[in-house]
Amino acid sequence: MSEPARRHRLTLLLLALALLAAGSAPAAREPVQHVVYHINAASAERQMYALRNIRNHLAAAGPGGVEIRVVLQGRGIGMLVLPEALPHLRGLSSANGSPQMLAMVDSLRARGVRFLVCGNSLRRYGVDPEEDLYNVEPFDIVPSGVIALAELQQRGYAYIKP
Amino acid sequence: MKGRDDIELNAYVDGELTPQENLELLEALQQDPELAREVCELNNLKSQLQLAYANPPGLAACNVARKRPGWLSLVASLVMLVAGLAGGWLIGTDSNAQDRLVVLDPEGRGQAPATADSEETRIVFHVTSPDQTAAGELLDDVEQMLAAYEADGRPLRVEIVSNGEGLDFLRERLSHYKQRIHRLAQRYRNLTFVACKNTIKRLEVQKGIEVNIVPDAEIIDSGVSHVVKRQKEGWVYIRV
Repeated sequence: MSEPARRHRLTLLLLALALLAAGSAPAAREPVQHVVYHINAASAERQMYALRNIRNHLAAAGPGGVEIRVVLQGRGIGMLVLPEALPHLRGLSSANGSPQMLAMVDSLRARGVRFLVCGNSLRRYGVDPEEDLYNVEPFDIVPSGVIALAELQQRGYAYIKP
Repeated sequence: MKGRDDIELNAYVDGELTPQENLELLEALQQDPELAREVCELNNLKSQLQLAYANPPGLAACNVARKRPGWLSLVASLVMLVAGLAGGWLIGTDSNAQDRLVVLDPEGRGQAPATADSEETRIVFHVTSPDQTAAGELLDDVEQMLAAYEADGRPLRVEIVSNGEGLDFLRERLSHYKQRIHRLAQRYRNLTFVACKNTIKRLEVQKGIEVNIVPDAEIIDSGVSHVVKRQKEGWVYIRV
């Protein structure tokens, strides 16, 4: 093996070790786009429209081409609220968690989309995150949707409000 | 929608249809106002995307990497592969953890900003909807945020820009939140309310009325160009 080639191999090894030491090695190719979708509309039609946008966005970007977060805020949280919760909600008349809506949410989740739910909005409308929401884990609840939107943008996420 | 799927509409908006297909769709648009509305919204979305990616933050490195000579990128990808495999093994299933901590504080506060504590967070809220319920919720969130940042000594600037149908929120006679706006504007010097002069003039001409804006708001020429300017300056943008 020639001298330069050996040097390259050494460089490679050192680089690999350095990255390991940093402990933050990227496990795969970085997605090209980072996008946060903001949904605060009350109506099921608007919400479904937004989900279709996201589905099309994923299709257009191709596998691994985009990392998408959805922030449900204000009456947008209704997307994941089960209809049986309706009687005890305060001021939220749209519990839009129909089988059709939830199937769409599931298919997007299966493709890596993460749905974040605004904790302020849950409290405002008297939504019990454990009983009333469809498959929302505690770590999917952000204290404030607005702050999550700001933070994600500061981290380089592009903002889209469909 | 009647017999048209989203993919086709997207293709139309992106100019990817053949002339014949274009013609057919244009005819369909004339017949179907619902379809036309959908296309209009797609166009709107597309321009938002273009704006968002006009100056993609923090992703320049990806582009640079592609311009490297072939062997170097091969080396780089080998390094990535080795490091990735080992890293994945080291981190195990918890690869999301770091991610979570930034947006989601384990204590439930979740308000640690991605930027350094000393760096000013600047947010422009764009109120364009006549729905004042959402505007009221916005004031709740903004007030909470102003208080939290102040308590932590972190610098924050917030602008709330109203135009189009969203102007009602700042109109003397129509705003549901005059007192609250006044109180917040007095209390927080880093909070500014902004009304759009274009909208005011349009209303005055169209409806022949005098439009008065709450005294706590500033008036600027164009709300839309103001929020675009703010985005270009690096402000966080949130539409209400």
